[in-house]
Amino acid sequence: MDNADFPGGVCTSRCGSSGTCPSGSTCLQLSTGEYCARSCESGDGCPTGLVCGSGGSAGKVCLAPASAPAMAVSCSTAPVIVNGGVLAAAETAGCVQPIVASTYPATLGTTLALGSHPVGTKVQFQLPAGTTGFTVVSQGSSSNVSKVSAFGSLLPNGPVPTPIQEPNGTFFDYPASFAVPPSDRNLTWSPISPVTGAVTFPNGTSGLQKAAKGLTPGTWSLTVSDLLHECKALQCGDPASGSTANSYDLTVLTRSGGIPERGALDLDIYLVSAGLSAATAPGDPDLRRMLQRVTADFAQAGICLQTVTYYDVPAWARSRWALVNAGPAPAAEPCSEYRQLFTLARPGNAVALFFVDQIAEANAPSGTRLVGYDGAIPGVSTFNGTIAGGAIVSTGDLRKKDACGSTFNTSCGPDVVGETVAHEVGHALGLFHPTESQGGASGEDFDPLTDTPQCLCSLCVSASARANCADQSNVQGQATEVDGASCAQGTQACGGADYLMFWQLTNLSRGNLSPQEGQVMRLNPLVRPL
Amino acid sequence: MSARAAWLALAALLLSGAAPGVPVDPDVAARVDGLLGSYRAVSVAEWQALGPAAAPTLETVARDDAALPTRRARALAALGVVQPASAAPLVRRLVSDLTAPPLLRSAAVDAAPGVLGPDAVAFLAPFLRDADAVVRLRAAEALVASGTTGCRVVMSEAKTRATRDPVARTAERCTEQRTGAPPR
Repeated sequence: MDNADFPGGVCTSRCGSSGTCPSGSTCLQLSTGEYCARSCESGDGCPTGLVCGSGGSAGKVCLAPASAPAMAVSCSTAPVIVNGGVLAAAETAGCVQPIVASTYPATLGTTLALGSHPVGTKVQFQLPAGTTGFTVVSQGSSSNVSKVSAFGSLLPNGPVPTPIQEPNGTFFDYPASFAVPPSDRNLTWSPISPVTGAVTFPNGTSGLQKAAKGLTPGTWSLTVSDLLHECKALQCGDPASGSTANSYDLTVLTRSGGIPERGALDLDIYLVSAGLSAATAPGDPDLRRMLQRVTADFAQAGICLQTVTYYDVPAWARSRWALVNAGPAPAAEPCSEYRQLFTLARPGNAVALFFVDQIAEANAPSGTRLVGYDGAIPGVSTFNGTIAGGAIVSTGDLRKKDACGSTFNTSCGPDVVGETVAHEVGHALGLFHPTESQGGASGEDFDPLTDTPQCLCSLCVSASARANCADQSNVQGQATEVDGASCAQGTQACGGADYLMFWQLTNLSRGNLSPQEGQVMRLNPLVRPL
Repeated sequence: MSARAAWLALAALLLSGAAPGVPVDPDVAARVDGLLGSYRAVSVAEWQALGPAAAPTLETVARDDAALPTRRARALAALGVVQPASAAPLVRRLVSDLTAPPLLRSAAVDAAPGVLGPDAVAFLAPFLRDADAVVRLRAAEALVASGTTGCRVVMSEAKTRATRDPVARTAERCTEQRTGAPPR
């Protein structure tokens, strides 16, 4: 087996409905299926390449060790930090939903503007020879339905231009079989932004392997669609499921040149926070320490931060967005203050970050404050100024330095802001959380990469908490979540707490990124080969 | 134990921030630590699942002047869920402490109605004139959300403000609530 449970390969066998295990082994549910795992009491007795770890109710079993994170590249120069001055933005009234043009550089690939089309339209596009990847950006009309009632929840009606078909008519991404592990799919969709969104190929292990070989050149096609349309097949329950009333402006960005070994990235940081200014930001020691952390994290992805430009925003914008309400509800609403903030971003090939004083969450216990919130996965790269682009980051901790020493510390304010920036930019460049909080409850709780450690609730949490893992049969109330302490056991099945994209920032966080995470990030349209 | 030793022990407990006499379950403490570091918001149900056993750790963090403001704010919000009685004096102190980080003060304002109950109206009213704009706005929003009495206070204050002032604009929601007009 060579998959997300056994990255690099190991000799074992499937079990459950596929067979039984030999004496001394237990049939264990892992993320990609059921496998025989040999019992053990310590490191002794495990075959070469495996380690003795927690197998949940099976006791100690031999498991794959956690994949090693990527080695950081050495960047020849520190990022250039620039004062971009005051953003020229007239005060807007009401809701805006701009449809913007891409600034994608021709040196990376081609920009194919496909025009505006209603849902259900099949649209062709040309992939030139030597294409490694592509991004489809769908920008919806302001009159589009922006929400979907799906399975009892109100979700953002995100665009999902599917199916995508190869020149020979083969379905590239559809129909997606949920029986196939995420890492074996060509694309993983994440329609979390309403009306406007992007999908970038590759964003998973199978896709990376295809990308390395190059895509078939010729006439490809996609069908304009969104979650509301797909809800007919998914039987979401929305009365308007299958609607073709919405329309989207489509652009395909092609990427050529293979997967670069190293990449370069720029950041545009908009200072909405009251205590910060673009004039003093380049020399601000706390912001410099924050950027050191971002630089160190990105180096693990093979990405060197090149230019960081700080912008002031007009006084009216500072006042309007001093505190931003984020969370699933504002994220699903195109006209929320959170989404409207993103429309301030100026055009350019940089990740747009908005530094605000505070981020609140209306549906959480009153008083809750967040450290950051991302616009979309991936962001609509090179289309700055839409409602979906960029991320917001709280500067509420920036000046708290009681715990700051010479090394990274998750109690040091500038380090936490830096780690949050890196985490949110990771989402913007296409990364998911390696494990979502319930650790395997739905089978879709893991990212589509085989070399990021996972954390399976039923294997990793304490015996008393195990019965309430969401994948168990008698869950009472709130399901158990996999936290940092459970996900730092050194095995592929119970790891990940040290990773940048883990769903929590704890004192176990090390900002690690896997080699495949780095590849996904480096193929984002905002990252240039270096 | 001598009286002096007892006093020192109590002082040490108070200074460390731990609620005296309440044992800290290390498993629960680890889970609280993880949730306080979550990138996404933690729901009421998640905090309720931990129950009062989480209170000592949450109280320690919420009181800790050296802790990060976002973590303290979350701990305070969570304390309002698992043990509101412990949160009440903290909410009062933090809202009133002009030296506390602005983020923490406004978070405490947010938490006040849920923790203080009907007493929140009288407590929050003076903060409609706070020097910090976010504190003023959050106080107005908390009062308006708390019901008729809170609305009356905010509408009275709004009469002293320009129409574009955030407090005045928040007061407009009271009119909308009364007339059933759709929210803007």
